[in-house]
Amino acid sequence: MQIRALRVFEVGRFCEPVAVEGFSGGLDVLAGPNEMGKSTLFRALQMLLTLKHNSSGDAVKRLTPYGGGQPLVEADLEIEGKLWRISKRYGNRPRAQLTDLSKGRVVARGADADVVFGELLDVVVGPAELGLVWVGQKHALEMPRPDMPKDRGERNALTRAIQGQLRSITGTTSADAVRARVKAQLDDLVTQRGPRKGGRYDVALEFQGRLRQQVEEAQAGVASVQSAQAELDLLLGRFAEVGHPDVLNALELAAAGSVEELERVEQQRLALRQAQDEVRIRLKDQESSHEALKRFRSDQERLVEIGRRLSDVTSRLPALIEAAETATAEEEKARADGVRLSDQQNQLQQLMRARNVAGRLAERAMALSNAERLEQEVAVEAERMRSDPATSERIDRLKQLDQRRQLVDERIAAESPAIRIAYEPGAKGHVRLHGEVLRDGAEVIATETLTLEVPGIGRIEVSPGGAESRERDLTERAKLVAEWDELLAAVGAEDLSGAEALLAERSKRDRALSLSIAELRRVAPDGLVALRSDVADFEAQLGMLEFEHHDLEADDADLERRLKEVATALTGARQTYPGVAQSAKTAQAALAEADARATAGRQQMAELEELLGPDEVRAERLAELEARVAAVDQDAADALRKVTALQQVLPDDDALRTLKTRVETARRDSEVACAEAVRLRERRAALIAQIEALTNSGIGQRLAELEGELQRADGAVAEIKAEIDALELLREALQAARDTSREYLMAPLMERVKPYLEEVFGEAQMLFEEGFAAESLIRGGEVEVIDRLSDGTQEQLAILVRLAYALLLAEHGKPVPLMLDDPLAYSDAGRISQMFRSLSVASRHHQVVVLTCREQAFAELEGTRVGLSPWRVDLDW
Amino acid sequence: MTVRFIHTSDWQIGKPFRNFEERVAGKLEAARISVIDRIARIAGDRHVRNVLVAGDVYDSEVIAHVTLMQPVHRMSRAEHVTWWLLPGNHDPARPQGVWQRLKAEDLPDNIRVLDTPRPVELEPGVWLLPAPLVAHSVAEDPTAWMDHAKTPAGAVRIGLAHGSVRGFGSAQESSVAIDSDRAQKAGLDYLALGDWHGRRRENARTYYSGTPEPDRFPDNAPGSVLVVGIDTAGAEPRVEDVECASFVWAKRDYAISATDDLAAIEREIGELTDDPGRLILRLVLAGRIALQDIASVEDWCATLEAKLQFLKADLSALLPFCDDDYAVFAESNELAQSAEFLSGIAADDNDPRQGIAAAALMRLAALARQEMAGD
Repeated sequence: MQIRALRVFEVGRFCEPVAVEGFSGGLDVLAGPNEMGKSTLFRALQMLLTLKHNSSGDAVKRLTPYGGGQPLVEADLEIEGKLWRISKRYGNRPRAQLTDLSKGRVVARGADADVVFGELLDVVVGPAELGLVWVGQKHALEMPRPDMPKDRGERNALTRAIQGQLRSITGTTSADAVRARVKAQLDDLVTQRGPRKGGRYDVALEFQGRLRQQVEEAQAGVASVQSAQAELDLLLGRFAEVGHPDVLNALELAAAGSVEELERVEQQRLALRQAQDEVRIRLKDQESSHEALKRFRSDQERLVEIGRRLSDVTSRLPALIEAAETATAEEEKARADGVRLSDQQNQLQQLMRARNVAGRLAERAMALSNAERLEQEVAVEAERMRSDPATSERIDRLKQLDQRRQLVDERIAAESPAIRIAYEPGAKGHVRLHGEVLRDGAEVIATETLTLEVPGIGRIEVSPGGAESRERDLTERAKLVAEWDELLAAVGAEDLSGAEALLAERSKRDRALSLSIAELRRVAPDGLVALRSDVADFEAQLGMLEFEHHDLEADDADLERRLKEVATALTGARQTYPGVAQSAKTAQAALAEADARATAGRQQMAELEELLGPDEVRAERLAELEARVAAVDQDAADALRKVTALQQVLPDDDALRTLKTRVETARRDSEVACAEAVRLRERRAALIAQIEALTNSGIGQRLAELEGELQRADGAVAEIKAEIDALELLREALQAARDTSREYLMAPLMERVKPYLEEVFGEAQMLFEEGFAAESLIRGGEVEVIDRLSDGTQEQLAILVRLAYALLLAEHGKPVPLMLDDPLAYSDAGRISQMFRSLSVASRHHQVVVLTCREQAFAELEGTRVGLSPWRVDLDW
Repeated sequence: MTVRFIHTSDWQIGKPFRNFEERVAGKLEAARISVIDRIARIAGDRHVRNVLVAGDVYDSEVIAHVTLMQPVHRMSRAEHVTWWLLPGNHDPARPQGVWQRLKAEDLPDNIRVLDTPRPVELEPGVWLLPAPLVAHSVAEDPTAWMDHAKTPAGAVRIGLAHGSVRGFGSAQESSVAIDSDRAQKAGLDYLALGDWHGRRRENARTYYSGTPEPDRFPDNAPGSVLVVGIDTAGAEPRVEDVECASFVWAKRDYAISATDDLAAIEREIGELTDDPGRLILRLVLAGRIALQDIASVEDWCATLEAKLQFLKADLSALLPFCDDDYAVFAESNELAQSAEFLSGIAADDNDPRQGIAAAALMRLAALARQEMAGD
């Protein structure tokens, strides 16, 4: 198919009919600026070829002008060497017409035209083919992905084109079905991570694992029985060795003999300890007897000595008593003199203080009197000030009112008519106001209606007019005058000057009051209460002092002299007293010591006499003590001999330790043997119970059963594993076959794209996915993923792939025009030239139509230039 | 006067066959018990009063009471026979083991447990020298004591033991070693051995009886007892092999190249026993065969299985090859290519995936057939 002409009316921006004529059928280029309508023409042609005339979808709406209309699209197409004209008008009254241009007659109209045109077109091109090779604006960058995202028959179109050149590739459907079955069977068994949960393989493995665990448990049980039997075997042998009653009896007898021997030795040891205790008692008794005799003798000697010293002290006591009495009398006298002088000094000091207090009391009483007088004066004047109406606030308000009234008067006057009297000679005094003659030159302001009288002539009435401002001023003035009058009455003045005089008088009194207050503060700075408190304090102090009131009148010098004399005498008495007092104390101490020594000597003598007894029995007592000492000496010697005798027959420590060890060993041997016999019996019973329990459960048979089941489970797992292995290998085989098929199928496409690739990229190769989408580019031995190439390269590759598609279709007898709307936007100058060459080459096989807004860049592109021209549309069909 | 007795061993009572399907396992287990009746019948038929069981009466030493007593009831019913039972490696004489438990029961007089290695008078002038095992394996030859065992002069000496004669044995049997010259060294007139499940003559006076009821696919000759007669001390014993098994176990491997070979195989199998219902058969088919014939082989196996008591057919060694004109792949180039790929591997004896490829090829054919049939 080749496009020869395209015409539109009421399509998009084309409200007027235009045509693009003169397509060569090879490489045709429509170049023009933006908004020329190239993309509209592209979409219009697409709509004409793919949509029936009565369609009303989005495509039609998008091409309907904003102002409304019925899009009309018409194209002249060469199909298999014959020219056809298809005209379709979309919209409210759709129409279609197919014309055989070679015969010059309409072959079908309306729906028939759609059907016949569809059949005609399907011979060479359908939506699938168009989708493969038509590239709209802004889509040039997209790599073609046939049938993505939905099936439009593009892959089949390419497959048909390719299969036309290959031997038949059959049975892909059945292979797909088998592949799907293999996949499903494998999926039932395994996933990528292992056995499928709940699947046959998983269940078999789980069963196998469970059995294996049960086998291990049963094996452990059997091993436990065998182990128990082995242990029981050994245990029975051991029991025969140690558990026999004769063996146990012999051990017990040996232990009992050793214990008896040890007990005998222990008795001997006890007797020795008792004898040693007796020795200790005897020695202690001996020591105490010797001590008693020694003490008796000592006490006798001390009694004699104390008696001698007592006699000596008693002889010195009278002289000491006399000396003490004399010293005490002297001390008493010195103390009485001191007290008397001190009293005199105190009385004089109190008198001096009373004189001082009395003076200060008189001064404070005077101040209090003055202060009370001033306070009375201040109170009277303050009350008077409070009742005076001529306050500064009122006077200030009167001044404000006066000023504001003057302002209002001036405003009223300014707004009122002014009348100036100017008499003619001889007419003076003829004009009267309210009966008063107005002088020549007098000026009268008519703030209110005035009536001028001119005798002999008449009356002239002058009115101030009725402006609103004047009324407001008059009202304000009346308020001001009322307040003025009220304030003057309150102050008690006739006018403002009178009020100011009253205020001056008030100020004068205020200053006098301030002076009185200042004087009061000076006289009583802390207030009258403090002053009264001071007077009371001084009076109290004076009352507390003891003095003769007449002495207050005494001469100060006399008082000073008297006080000095008393102080001098008191100082002398105080200096004398310590020596006298010390002498008295020394004499008394000497007397007390002698007296105490005498008393102590008497007490000691009494105590010793109490200990020694009456003098007549002391010799007898001494003889008893001496006899006692001799007896205890004999007892101690006897006890020591007994100990020595016992020690000689007792075994030494080593022998005793050996004996104890023997006893312990024998006892332990017996106990150990008994304990082991008990343990062996218990263990034997436990082992027998354990063996019986397990054997009665038939665990050995159960183990054999489980081993058999495990064998079967192992076989089942192995079978499934073999099945999986077979399925996986089968999947691999099917995939290898599919890869081979794909390579086989893709080979023609790779061959077609190769010349175009080499034109632009030099030595290169392109690999395709199963769906004919480009997968990667191989350049210089390097495989490059398409998505990672630059935008420009991707766009160029996308066009080259479409060229290959178009070439395949053309070779398959379906030469579809390749339509490119605004292509190669991302290509540099070099690549554009190479792409131009590819487009030129391609146009030898099928039509290539390029729509571009880049006239200069595409100047080098060969081919036929077509353009817009007016179209005399014929709508009568 | 000639002494006559039956020599048997390896009853292995209580052995389960859970590696078989339940239907077959039950029958096999029952057959191991009922063989006692058959031995008693043989003894009666031949007027034999003593049956010597050379070990492994029980399959395990840890068995339930009911299993323990099952053979006792059978033996006690055969009052005309005295059963001499020897502990073997499966049921050694151990404390609280099967024999101690059995002796604790009220055993009838015609059952004798030989759990002590000392001479026992079988009947006047005939002494039995037992060599009971006390463990699964023992380091010493348990029959060594027989060399010095005292018996009255002129007495017939019969040894009874369980183990492997040196230079002989298999993984299935115990590791108890017995001197093959024991009969000669110990002056035995006959040494009755157990452990080897097939019957075997070691020398003129030393025999394995084999198990009376087979329990595995053998490469020996199980399924019988030996009826032994000794005319006098020092005389060579006369040994008769008497069949007594319920089931015939067989393992057969065949190489085939076409379905035509199956008829001959079926004939050969038919000769194994008069009653196919007694046959437990494990069949392995190997060889290269056309892929389209696999289904026929599988069908043949299914038919055969229905005839026998049990058939385990292993076709994993069959290596199918694919004809170019195999119709099931003619519809699809990809299927044909896949089959070709798999056939190549299956035909390569050096490729470890050979067996897997064979299975994969058979599955491919099956799936393709299903697809063609619209299943």
